[in-house]
Amino acid sequence: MENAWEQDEKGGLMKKLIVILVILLPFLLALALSGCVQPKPGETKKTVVIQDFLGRNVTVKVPVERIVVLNEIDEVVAVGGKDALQKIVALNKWRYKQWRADWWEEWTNHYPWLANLPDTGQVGQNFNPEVVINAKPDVVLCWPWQYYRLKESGDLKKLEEAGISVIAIQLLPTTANVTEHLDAVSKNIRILGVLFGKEQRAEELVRFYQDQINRVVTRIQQTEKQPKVIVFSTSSPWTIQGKKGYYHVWVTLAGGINLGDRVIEGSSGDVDPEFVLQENPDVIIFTCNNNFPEGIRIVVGYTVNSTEPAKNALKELINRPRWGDLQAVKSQKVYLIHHGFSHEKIFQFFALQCIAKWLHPELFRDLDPYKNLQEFYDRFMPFPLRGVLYVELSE
Amino acid sequence: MLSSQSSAKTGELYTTLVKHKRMMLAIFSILTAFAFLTNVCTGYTFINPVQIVQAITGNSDEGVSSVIFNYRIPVALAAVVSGLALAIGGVAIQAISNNPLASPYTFGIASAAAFGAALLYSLDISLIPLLKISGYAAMMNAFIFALIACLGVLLLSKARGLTAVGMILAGICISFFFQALLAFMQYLATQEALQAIVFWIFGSLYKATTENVLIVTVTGMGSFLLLLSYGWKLTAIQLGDEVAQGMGVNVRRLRIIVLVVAALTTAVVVSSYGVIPFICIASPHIAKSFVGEDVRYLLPCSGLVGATILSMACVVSKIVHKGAIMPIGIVTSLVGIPILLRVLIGERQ
Amino acid sequence: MKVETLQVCKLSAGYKGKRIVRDVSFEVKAGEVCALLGPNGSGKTTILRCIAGVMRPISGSVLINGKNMRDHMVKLIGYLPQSIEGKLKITVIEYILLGMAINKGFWKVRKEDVEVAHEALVTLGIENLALKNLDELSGGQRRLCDIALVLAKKPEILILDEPTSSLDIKNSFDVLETIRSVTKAEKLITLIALHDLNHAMEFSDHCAVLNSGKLITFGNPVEVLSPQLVEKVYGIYVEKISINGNKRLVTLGSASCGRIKGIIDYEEKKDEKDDIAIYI
Repeated sequence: MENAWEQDEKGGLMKKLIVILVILLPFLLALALSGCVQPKPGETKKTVVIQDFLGRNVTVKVPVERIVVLNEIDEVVAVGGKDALQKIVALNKWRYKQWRADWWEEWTNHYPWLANLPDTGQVGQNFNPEVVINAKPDVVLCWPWQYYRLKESGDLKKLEEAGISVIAIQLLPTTANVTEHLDAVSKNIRILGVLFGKEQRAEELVRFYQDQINRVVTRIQQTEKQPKVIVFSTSSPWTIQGKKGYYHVWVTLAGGINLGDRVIEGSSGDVDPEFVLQENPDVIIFTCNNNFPEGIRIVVGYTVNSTEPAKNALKELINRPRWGDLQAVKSQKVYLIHHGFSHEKIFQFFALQCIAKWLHPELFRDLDPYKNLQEFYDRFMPFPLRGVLYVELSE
Repeated sequence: MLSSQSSAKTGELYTTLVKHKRMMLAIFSILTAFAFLTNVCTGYTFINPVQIVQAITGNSDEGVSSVIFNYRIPVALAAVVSGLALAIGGVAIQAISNNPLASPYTFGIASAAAFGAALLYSLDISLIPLLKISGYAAMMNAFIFALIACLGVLLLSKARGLTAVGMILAGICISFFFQALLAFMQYLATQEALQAIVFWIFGSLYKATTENVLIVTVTGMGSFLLLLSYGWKLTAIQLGDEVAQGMGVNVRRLRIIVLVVAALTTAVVVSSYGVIPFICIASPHIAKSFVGEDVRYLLPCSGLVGATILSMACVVSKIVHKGAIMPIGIVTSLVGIPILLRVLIGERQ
Repeated sequence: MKVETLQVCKLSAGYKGKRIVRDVSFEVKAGEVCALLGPNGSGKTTILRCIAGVMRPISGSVLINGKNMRDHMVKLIGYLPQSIEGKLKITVIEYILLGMAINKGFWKVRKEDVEVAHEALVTLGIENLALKNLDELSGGQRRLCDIALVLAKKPEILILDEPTSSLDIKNSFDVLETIRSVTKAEKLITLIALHDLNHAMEFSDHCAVLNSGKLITFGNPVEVLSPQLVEKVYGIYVEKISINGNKRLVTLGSASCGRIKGIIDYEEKKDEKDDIAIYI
């Protein structure tokens, strides 16, 4: 005869098993479900530690889904592609509208919904941290100077408390040492690559940039000539680029001598008009932001279709006493270039290439900066390049 | 007998007094001429006076003479006439407001002018649209707003019966008002416009052209002669309104005329060359210690002092870092601060 | 043009609509000194300012030779305000010349002008101060300079608001004597605001006594200033005494402080003699 206790035990065991199953059920379900949801290839979320431009170690979950851009969106899209555009949840619209109106027009023409994104405001002017926090981004992109401002004002703390990581990147050319410069740029681009999970595309971009820079830098070795250059601003008659200016880097890399280096310690300053006459530069470049002493006048940019306005502006700009005797003016080596393509952009190679061509026309006869820029746009930007971005005095 | 003897003695002493003042004027005239010459000689290359004379007489090579005539002389002339104009504006305003720290700048003339320029650079608004292309738009805006500020001071101070204190208070209000507007323009400005505004505010004699030098000279000379004709009255008004009125001065009318003239003169300088600080305040004080407070002597002496200081400041701005031009406002500030300190400390005694 | 008479007709004046002076009328002829008397706040300064043209009356007028000459008044008048606070870094002689230049309208100073200025300083006995700076002077010296300035302008009408304030006893006397003799010699019209009643009796031909902005009486001070009037207007007790034929007032007490002892003795002895020693 069966032991009554054994019978009970069997029933008790059953109960226990059921209880255990019931308890384990949610976990089993979770396991089962998670097994079903397969992550798309390449979008496995992982947590990484990124070292930004300032050397800060920032922990981020990549690829990011939501991003706030306090600087400019070209690099984001260049690396992250069109879908990166969709990930922008708020941006520094103020700066675009105020300081890069023609670029903003181009972006909103192609992507009108950008205009409806919340505006964070410009750091140091009207920045609103709440807009950033409400947008719930994974990461905030900014420039180093913006980072410092955020830190000073306490806004950085607010963002970090809300669990938002801030990453500072910079593409500004600060050194005429090519290796260092390329290193710096590549590093920042790769950061973007990691952020968007587009490491491969980032590498492509880095290679493209390096290649464009090298097209100038390697060939420069072939010549000993070092033309003397002065880079003027258009908004005030005697302001030139100095030792720490970004044009100083481009002129040096392009195998020229920036005369401003000798007299201006900072990035820009006023030159003695006699210095210009005395030094008699071979090439004169005007970097133009569509701002002249008499006010705003659009002569270069996406929206400009003819070279006439810029050429006229150039003619007025060189109408100064005794400038007719300058080497640069006599040989018509006077140029005007859009200010925005010279710094803090992934396509700043454009400025370098233009300058190289102007300084050594024979050596770079086959170099076509505009075409290279177009190629960049075709490959990495969501809309094609257009507009007049530079002019030369000669026809 | 005794009376006529002492009368003769007093007469002699008075003549000595006058001679002393005239000598001071002569000395400062020479100083101004010397400063002007130094200014013309200095630059990226030092051109000695002999070469300058040669250039004027047409005996030097094109390069040197072109530098002299196109760059050195206009800038040096601008320094002299602006220094003079700013200084006499300072004397005038200090007299009618009976306050040693008053100046056309503290009455808002400079902030209004800066705002006018900023209005053009930030919002592309020119009060006289036709001028936009000519390159005079910023200058015209600045000038018109400077006069608006002057009008504002007049209207506001009328509420206080056009007294000295009333004018100072009105001037402070107008000054703050335009400073706020200027800040607002900067807020609205593009990055480049901001640069343009700052550059404009800083002041530079390198904006000198034959036209603006002529305008400043004519205005400056005209104001000088007019204010000089009011010399006695401007001296008397500092004794107090009642006293001056008792002497026969129409204090209200004098204040209005002098304010408008000073504002006009300052506006012309600021709208041509930007804001050059401290000449307005410092020149009268320096001149006072040499010729006393009789406006008939104080006015020309201050003018000469202003011209000298600004010329020397120009020289400094050229040689501090050869090849670059240090903004002249920085130099005049550095010179002006110790002078102001001396005035403040001197007053305590 | 010679000024013969100055008439104040129904003058009412005040500040910010409040009337300080009400309906005051009197007349002064050339060669006469008229003293304005009255307690503080009675309107003396206000009237003088109206006459000097420094202030506009609310109603009434000031007529010269029967005509309203507001615009020309400036040239004819020498006005000394109650106090001059302004500081200027100039010498005394230049200060005098300043007053003359604005009044006469000349710009350049000629030798004759310096002599006139010097003369004015001599008249007041301060010619030794000629080259001193204004800010080096004492209060009294400054006041003397101010008076010299007024005299140097050679006005036809002298308007002096308390010229003797900050002056010592001797200077007060000398100055008032100078003013009187100049008035007589040049046939000026002089109005002086005074506090000292004895000065008024000594140096003025007429006096206008004011109280609370109204003209109480006008006439020869020796006759008009009686103890009753003085008590009514000033609130002090005085006794009129005669010394060598000159009438004077002696202050004996004040309404708020009480009478001083000894007056009763005097009352008794008063009838005995005319000239009598002063009992205090």
